[in-house]
Amino acid sequence: MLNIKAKYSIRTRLKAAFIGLAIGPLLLLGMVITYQSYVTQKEQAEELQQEVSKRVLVQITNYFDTLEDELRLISKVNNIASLDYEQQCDILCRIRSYKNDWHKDVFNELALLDSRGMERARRSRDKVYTLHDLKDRSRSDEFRVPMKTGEVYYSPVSFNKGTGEPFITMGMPLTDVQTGLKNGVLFAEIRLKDIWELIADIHIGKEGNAYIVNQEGLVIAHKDHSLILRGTYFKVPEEAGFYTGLLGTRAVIATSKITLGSQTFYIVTEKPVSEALRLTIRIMLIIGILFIGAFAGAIKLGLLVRRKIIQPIEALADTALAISSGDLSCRADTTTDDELGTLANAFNSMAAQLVRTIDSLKQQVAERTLAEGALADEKERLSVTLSSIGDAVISTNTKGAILVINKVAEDLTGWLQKEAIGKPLPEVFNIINEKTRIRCENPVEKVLSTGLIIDLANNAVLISRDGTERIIADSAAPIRDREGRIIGTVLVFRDITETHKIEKELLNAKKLESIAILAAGIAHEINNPLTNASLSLQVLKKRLEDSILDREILNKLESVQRNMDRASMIAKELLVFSRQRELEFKSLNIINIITDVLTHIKYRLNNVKMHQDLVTVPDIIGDPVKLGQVLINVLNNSFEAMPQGGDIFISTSYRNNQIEVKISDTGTGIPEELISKVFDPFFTTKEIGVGTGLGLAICYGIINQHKGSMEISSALGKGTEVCIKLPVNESLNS
Amino acid sequence: MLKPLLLVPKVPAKEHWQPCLLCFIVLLSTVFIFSCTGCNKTKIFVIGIVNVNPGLKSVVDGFKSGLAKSGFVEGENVRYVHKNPQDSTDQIDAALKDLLTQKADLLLTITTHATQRARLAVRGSKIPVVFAPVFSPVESGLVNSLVRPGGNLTGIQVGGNIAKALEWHKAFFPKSKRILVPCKCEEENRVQEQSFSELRNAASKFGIELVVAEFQTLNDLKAIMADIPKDIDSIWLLNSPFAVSRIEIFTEAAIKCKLPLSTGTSQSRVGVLMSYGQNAFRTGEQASRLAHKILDGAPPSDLPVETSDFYLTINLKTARAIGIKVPDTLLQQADSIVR
Repeated sequence: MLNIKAKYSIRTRLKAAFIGLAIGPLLLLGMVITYQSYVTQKEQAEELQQEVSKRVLVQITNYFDTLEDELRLISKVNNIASLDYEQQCDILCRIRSYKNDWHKDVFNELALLDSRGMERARRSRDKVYTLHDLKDRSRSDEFRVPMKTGEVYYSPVSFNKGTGEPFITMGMPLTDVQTGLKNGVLFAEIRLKDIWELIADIHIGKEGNAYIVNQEGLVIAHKDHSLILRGTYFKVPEEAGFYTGLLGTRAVIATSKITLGSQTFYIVTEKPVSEALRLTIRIMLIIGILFIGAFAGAIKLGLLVRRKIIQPIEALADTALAISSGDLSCRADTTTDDELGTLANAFNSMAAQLVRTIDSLKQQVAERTLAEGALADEKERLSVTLSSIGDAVISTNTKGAILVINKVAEDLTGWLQKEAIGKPLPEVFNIINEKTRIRCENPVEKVLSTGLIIDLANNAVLISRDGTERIIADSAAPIRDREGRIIGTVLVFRDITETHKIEKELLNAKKLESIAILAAGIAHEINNPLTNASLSLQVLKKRLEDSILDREILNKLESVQRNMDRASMIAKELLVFSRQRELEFKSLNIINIITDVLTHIKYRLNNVKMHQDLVTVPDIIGDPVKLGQVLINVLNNSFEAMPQGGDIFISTSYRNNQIEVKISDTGTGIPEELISKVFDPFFTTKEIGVGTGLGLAICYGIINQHKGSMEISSALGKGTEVCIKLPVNESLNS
Repeated sequence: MLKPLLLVPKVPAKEHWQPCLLCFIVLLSTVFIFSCTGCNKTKIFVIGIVNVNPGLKSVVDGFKSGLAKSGFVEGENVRYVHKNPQDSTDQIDAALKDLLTQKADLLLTITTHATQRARLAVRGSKIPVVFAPVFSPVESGLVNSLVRPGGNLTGIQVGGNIAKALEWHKAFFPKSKRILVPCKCEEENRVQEQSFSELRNAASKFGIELVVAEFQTLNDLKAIMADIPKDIDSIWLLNSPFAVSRIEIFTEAAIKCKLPLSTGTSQSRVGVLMSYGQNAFRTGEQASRLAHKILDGAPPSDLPVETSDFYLTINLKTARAIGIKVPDTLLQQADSIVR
């Protein structure tokens, strides 16, 4: 699975984004709207409440004003102070029972006090007062205050013992119009219960209401009678606002002050906050529900997106991860038609392409590895070849700087490869003319300029680093690329000093030989006539010895004999000189020769074991000395081929009118390519100077002269076999 | 790799709970919000009414009417059980017992006697009692105080207004000197005792002579009413269940003799000329306000006893019948005029 931290994954981010997007704006908007509506509604509610309380104030004020007015009116109109008792009672009665839209039974009691404070008449709602029941009220405030101030007096609120209902008493001064002086007080006991209806009729919104509180905080008018009768207190706030209401609920409260005389009352209007802020609450509720809905919707949508988008993406990511981990067979699901499907498809093709590419690359790599292997092998072989080449090889680039120099070249030039590489050729390849000692032309330059294969002039002498001079034979050739352009040169040379020497020797030997052959030929040619002449002379001498008298002729014949002998001797010496002795053919048996030779070389046997298998063979005609020489030569070669010892087998056989002598050894053998050369003059495998290379050549010549044949077969490491065949003379053995 | 996508969106099992839970919450809260507005109205309240005085039947009517206006509609969420026992202790007790068996949620008792018996009956239980009306509940031992009744009882009291009623009578008939007062005097009836003494006081204040005619049985009453002395200028109807239940006797006699019939309880019946006192219907309405509060959960011990208002009623039909002209000034002061 993907190892992405949960908080960074697309899933979480999308979820967070969705939820954030769904809820964020809503929440923000909701909060803003709610707050705004709250603030606005609060203000409005407070203002409204204030208005309402003012309105109620007006109502209540009117109420009391009306009461006062009624009293004033009636008293003035009827001039109550001047009436008699009955009339006064009657008027009081009528005032008391007067009801209108404003008030019902508002006056509990009414009394008329004279200027001294004595009751003149009194009428009550529920009590009976007669003349005898009139009292002196001169000490009560209801009398004194109005009399003094001329203002209407209101008393504090009290409670009727019998009913528990609150009331206040009012004292209204009456003025004598004649005197202008106060002539009495109209006393009224006002049932505050009457206001209860008024107050109860005041509706503020659905659940709001108004009530009146006196200055002590006692509620004196409320739609709930029980509340008042119980005696409930309320702390009136000074400013409109949100407070805990009378019944304990949070409400918008506004107050207005009403002053009755010296009494202060507060009109309190209350509207529950839940109603005042109904809009706000409703908004909050709606927003809450919308919030939940949006949340659910966001989650649902998020799930949908998750399924449709994130899961495919995650699957794709998983697939990518799997593929990058090495499982190339994974493919992404491509069931959707949208961009993700396209992506998955593209991904799959990419993966398939990747697999193909990888396969083809693998193949290429394999091929290349093979090729490189082959190349390396080739290089190796080339290198081995190069280093195996018996000749020195130097290759240069087109500028004549050495690129490659093999071992043989290293040896011959005296420069190591690592030193020579990069150096210009002439520095390493220092050649001079043998004769003139002048520096030779740089073969590479010639090659580069002509583009031809160049052979060095002969007799070039290479001076190695340490000064050793060697005669070399070389050739330089251009290296061409496929298009035929010259990309370098290759110079091949070999030390032919020895070869030169040997050639020189050979030349000398050949010269000598040719001289010798000439000499031998001459001697040979001379020998026969000389021999013949000598024979003839002998015959002559013999014939004449008897008959010739003249000693002078015999002396002259003897002198001639002596001179001919002398000449013969010279010819013989010549022959000896040429080492080509005259073959002295005799009949012989090869067995004897072999036995003799073996006896001679016994001392050399050391660690070599001799095996003989000599079969009787007929005689042949040959020169025993020469044959012996041949055998010795061959055996010597065998010895030299087995310095650590070995076995030599000699055998004879008679076949096809020829005797065969086989000499085989278990020596080093002769390489196949050299076998054909062994009989060449001056061919030797020995070190230069050790052997002249003439041995086998002479042997070959000798055997040839015997009209025989000499064959060599050899295998490197196994040994060599020399087979000499000599013809049998029939006539001899018949 | 991916599960094959189905046509119907399929949410993996482990994610099921999230949207489901949310929907559930939304649904639940919506239901809760919108249903709670009408939560409480499924209970049917049983209200037992014990009315001893048939003359005060209007109290019951007023009570029911008042409750109906408050939202307690008969048949929907309230059931009334009417008991109209005679004014005897045994019958009242039996009625009360039966109401308690029927698991009444509230009792309305009319007259002091019934209320006193009710008080004993509900002692130890939580059943509230609303009385309407009662004379002097504190003195009758029904409540501890007007302001804080304590106990299970609260209700409407009638203030002493007999004297005032008489004063009104006098206002209407200044020349009235001798008033016949038929009285079924019972010693135990302290209420009657009280009101009677008040009447007497007032009468003496006014210089009116009360001619008390005691009777025990209906026949006695009939006999009295049949034979009214000539010097009687008006009849006073003392408020008692007996009298009120036989009011026709009074009214017929009054009309026949062309005598004003006054009483201390609001009466608009033909035959009664003037009455000054509580209005039974309104008293019932007032009581219903208390009952409403109690049914809404307020404890009766915290609901102060209220006082009923008095109303002056003049029956002009009666006036015409007995040939009396009522002056305008007095008529103007009347609360209720029957024309």
